[in-house]
Amino acid sequence: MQPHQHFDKVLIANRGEIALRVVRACREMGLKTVVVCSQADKDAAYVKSADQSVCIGPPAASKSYLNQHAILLAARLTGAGAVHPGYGFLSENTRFSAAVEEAGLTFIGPDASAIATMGDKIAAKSAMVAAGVPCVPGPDAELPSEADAIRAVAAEIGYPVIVKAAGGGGGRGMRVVLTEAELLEAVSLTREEARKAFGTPALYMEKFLQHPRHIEIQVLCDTHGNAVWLGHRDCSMQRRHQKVVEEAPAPGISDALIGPVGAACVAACKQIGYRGVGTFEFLYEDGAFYFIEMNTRLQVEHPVTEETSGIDIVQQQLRVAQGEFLSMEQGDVTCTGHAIECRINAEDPATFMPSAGVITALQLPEGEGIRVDTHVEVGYKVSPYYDSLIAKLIVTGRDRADAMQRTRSALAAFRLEGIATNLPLLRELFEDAAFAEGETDIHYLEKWLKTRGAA
Amino acid sequence: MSKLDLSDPAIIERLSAALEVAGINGIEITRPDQSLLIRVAGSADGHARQVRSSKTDVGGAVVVVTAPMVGEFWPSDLSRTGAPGAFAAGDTVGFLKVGPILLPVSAGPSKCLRQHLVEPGTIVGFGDPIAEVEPEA
Repeated sequence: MQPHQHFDKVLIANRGEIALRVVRACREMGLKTVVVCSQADKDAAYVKSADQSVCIGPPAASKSYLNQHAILLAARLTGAGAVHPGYGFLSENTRFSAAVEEAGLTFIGPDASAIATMGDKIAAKSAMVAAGVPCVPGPDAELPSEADAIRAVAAEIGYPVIVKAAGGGGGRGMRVVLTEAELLEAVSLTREEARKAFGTPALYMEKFLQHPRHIEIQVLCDTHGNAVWLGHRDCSMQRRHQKVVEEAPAPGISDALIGPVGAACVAACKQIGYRGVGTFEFLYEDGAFYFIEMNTRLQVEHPVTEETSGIDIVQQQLRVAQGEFLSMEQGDVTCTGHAIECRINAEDPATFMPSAGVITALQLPEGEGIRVDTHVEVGYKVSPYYDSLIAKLIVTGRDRADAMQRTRSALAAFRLEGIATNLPLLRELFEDAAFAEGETDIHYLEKWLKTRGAA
Repeated sequence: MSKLDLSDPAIIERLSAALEVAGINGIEITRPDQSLLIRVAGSADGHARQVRSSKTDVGGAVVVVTAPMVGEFWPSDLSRTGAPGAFAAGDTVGFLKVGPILLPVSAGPSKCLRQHLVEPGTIVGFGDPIAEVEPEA
């Protein structure tokens, strides 16, 4: 494990709202900040809000935000003592985590071995089974290559099954198989895709759940063997595996039901010596949880947990990286109220095509329980080079019904002109009766979009 | 096979490291669109690398020389810093200092320095304007 190092300057190896979010947390803790940027982001106000900013390359992410050499060079030049990777880009890159530490800096996240273990889906599942975390039925081992052996594995699990790439993630490298007749061709195709996309042909097979919800558990661990879980989130409202709305807590799930799962996640973290923040993702169906993967980084949707738990997760990340002991025990963690996050994307609300351009007018909703995390302002140029997320609207209420109603009002008050956004879609979605009722599954949004003729 | 970008800091770093490991003093690569010269030599305070990476530019007008990578800028000759009409020393307008390494920034074909655009010791990023140069009269 990396020795604790004092640092007073943090380099943020990311962009947009999360870069600004980390700047804010650092400032509140008295830490100086360096934001690296590409030429496309160089003139953005959020970049200038840091104590220091350095342009590290051209707009293409491969030559800037994914350029490990340039980022480390910037860290060395600016005297940063730590690197915060945000989410996406290099946040779950084993080699980057190792390179940062080899350079004598602190990587604000888990060490390379933990990222590697959790990045390999077979190894992750094996670690979770060992820690008593419930997993989707299916062996925690690589799928064999012989046809008879493959058929035997599928028969034992029971159809339908899903074939997944061990190195995959984010909804890529997977195929659902309904009957034995489709099995071998599906395995062959997925294996080839995995070889090309992830550099390894390794596959594994699981039971395919037909109507699951996506539930996740946030954990926080220090480097002294302490860990807590900070409640749960429901991220079932997805389109093409991309989350659109997230909420905490997950509706309709009792503390008695999820308590043992949270405890198992904490046990797993302690067992693998995990440090920092992380998220265990589960499918939930018929009252049972099934582990799917662990994200070894800060999540886009972390604010809903912050709002219900009252814990600043980014500050906690920084404190853990400084070698501090967790300031809380599990009994101190209490989640109250209900929080909902809407991802505001620069995209056409009907076709979902990305929308680039200049924001000509912007009015953010304000009021009790309303938080907007964004890096954009009037005159900001939305670039075509990166993810379309431009803002996160986080609304907290006494309970889910209150939070839903406040979200409707906040969405109505949200004005953004000059580019297309998904605000009209979100406004319509929040009027949907089934969504308002809660407990919709991961397929609900796509079905709803088809019904309204927009998918 | 795609062409290497000879102004890419990662490429320069890898080539420099390979030269040092192999005990080779330097390498020069010339293509119609780009050229790269790296010289490695011992010095009192460690290895010094001379790197000259340039892209073909348009002749005639004033040319703004930009930083090819992140670094701390130092003019090539402090006594002539910012002096209009001074000649860029040895084809360079200055150096990017990264730790113990000095990376010369080429003036390109236009060798007459009009002015430096940043103060000595400033940390500059990729693409930041460093100096204005123009063709010799």
